[in-house]
Amino acid sequence: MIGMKKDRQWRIRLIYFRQRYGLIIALIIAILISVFLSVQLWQTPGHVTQKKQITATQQEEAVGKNLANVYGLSKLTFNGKSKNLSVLDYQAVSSKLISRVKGWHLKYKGDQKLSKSAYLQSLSKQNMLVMSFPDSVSGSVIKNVFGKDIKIADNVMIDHVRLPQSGTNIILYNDAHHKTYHYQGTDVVQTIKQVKRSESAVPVDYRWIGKHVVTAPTERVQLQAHSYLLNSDDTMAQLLKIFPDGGKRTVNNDQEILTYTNGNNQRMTRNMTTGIISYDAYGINDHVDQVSQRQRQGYQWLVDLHQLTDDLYYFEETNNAKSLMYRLFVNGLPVFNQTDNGTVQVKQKPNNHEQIILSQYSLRVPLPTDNKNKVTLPTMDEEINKLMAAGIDKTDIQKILLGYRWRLNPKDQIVTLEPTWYFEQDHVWRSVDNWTADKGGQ
Amino acid sequence: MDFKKVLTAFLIVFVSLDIFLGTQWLRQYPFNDRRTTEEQIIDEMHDDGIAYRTLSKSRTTGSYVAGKDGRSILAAHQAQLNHDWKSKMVGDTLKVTMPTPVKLHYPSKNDIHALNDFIKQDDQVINGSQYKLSTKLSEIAQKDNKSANKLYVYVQKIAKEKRTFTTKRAQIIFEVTPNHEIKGYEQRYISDTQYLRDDVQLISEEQALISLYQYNDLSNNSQITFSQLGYREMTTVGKDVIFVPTWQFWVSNNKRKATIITVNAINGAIMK
Repeated sequence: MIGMKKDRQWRIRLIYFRQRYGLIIALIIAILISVFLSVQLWQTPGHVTQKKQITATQQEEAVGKNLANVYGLSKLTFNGKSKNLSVLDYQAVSSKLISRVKGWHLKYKGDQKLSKSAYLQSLSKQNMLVMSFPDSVSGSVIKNVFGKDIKIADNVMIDHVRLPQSGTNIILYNDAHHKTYHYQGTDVVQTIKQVKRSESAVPVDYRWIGKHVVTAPTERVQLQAHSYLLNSDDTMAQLLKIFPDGGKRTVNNDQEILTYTNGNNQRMTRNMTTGIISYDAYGINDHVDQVSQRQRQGYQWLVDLHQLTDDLYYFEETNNAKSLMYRLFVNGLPVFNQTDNGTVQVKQKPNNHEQIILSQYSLRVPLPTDNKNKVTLPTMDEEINKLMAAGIDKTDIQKILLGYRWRLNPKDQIVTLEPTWYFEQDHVWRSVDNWTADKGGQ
Repeated sequence: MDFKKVLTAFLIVFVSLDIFLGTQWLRQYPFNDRRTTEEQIIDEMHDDGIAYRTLSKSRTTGSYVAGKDGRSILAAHQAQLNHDWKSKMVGDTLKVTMPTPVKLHYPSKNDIHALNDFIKQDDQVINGSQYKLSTKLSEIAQKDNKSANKLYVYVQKIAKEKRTFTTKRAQIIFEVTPNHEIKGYEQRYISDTQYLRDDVQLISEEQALISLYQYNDLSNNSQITFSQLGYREMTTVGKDVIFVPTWQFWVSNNKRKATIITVNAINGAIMK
């Protein structure tokens, strides 16, 4: 009885409260909702002009210069029955392959840790296509290359991708831990069966050099030398937009240096003698530590400093990606220079300091070359033997690859790119010929 | 009682306002915006009144091409032409005139079919099979032409490609009378063409137009009347002319004469 009485009293109170304050409370709620919605509408992109919502990065991506392009492949190998052929002009074929695979749904099937030899065997399996990156790229980059729905952790590092010439099983390879990640392609719109390799190819073997698997030419390779017009205007024109001042001139060790500043956080020094530019940004509080984050940040720097050219690609990272190197590639091979011409280095320094080293010189306009100007290069084994004969321990060779040597004729400002072998030791790249010649002379 | 009515009226007004604002918010909030960046920019272009026909999203491949002024080739082959005709070199242009106009014989009496046939004959046009008709350039040439004769522009193809040079240095202009007779033509030629680099993937027509828009090279209410992918002169080094694949857009604004804007199809840069 007491309980029923209490319940009745509550109901009476509630009815009284609703009659007296219900309308006011409903009105207050309605006003608050309209204020909230007005603020939200004010802040949504519909109010602010949409042009401002599209970032510089999105603009670059919209015209085809995206992160996946910069972290592109540097090798494409067709595994045949009797031999594996590495395609020299791989870029157009690779783009076609990737665009087809991007249309598939990739279902994750699991991972596997292999022995070093089993890892090599898996890579060199018959009737497969192997695409290799110049250095390990993060899972985040892989998502950009093959589409966002591929299941892979951002911090997993990948060196190679194996595609079947017929079928849809895809394997990603991590050299550092000899680990493989398996995927099954479903919802296949276009297979890769019809993609044909070009005639320009060289027989190769897969092998371990240092901590990476490389494709080693087993026969001598004939490559064409190329000529380019030296360009110094484009890079500076873009960079000087960031620094409106004319620069302060100093002379140091007979070298003319121009120093530009933009507030307290940006500084640029331009060595007028060598053409090397150092851009320093201070107070960068991004807390970027993982390789995947660094690779994304490196790309962002290329966008911000207007360095996204059609032939600049990621080359390698050192010191847990604290230093990232982007390099000029011509006809699929990296270009090396005694100075830093043709490269962009993004360095993470202590105290929130980011340093970007680049060159005011670039190669934009290719020139005709004499078809007779071809060079026959030795096999990788011959080059390694040369290095060992000159006193280098084989285990000290971190990487070895074909590249172009940048040789400038100052008279006509024409750069000749000569194909030759390069190797890396203690994180320094040297021409095999130059190094062995120097050692021989000592 | 009156106060209650006022409150009710206010409540109705605010609830209606909330419904309106809520609908607007849901429509504009980013979680509803699944458009790609390209689609967003295309929508912006629509908002700015920029009109165009369907744009191709497909990306083909291409490379830099070098060539030489074909003056010497034209001069050397002048003798192979019909001896009844007069021909002379003026600068890098071969000017051919027919004292007696040549009747274009073709069953359909269609000038273009007849010219396509005419151009392939070695004694009539030097390396004529390397050229093909450009309907758009012929149309433009015709607009500027004050005589009763019709002008037909043929453009030089790049070896093994369907694409053509988009420079006046690689064209033939035929003058045809209303009676379907050729009075003469002017020919310019690019010789010794060679590819300078391995093929790379070119930007699509849509990406090229987006690039134009992003660099503020398209004013509001412009109309894209025509576009084509071809090879345009980039620079000349010594005797070599360097060509780059480009997207060319004919842009007209407020019925004024169309301007041609060119985008480098390798890197998306605007070429002035």
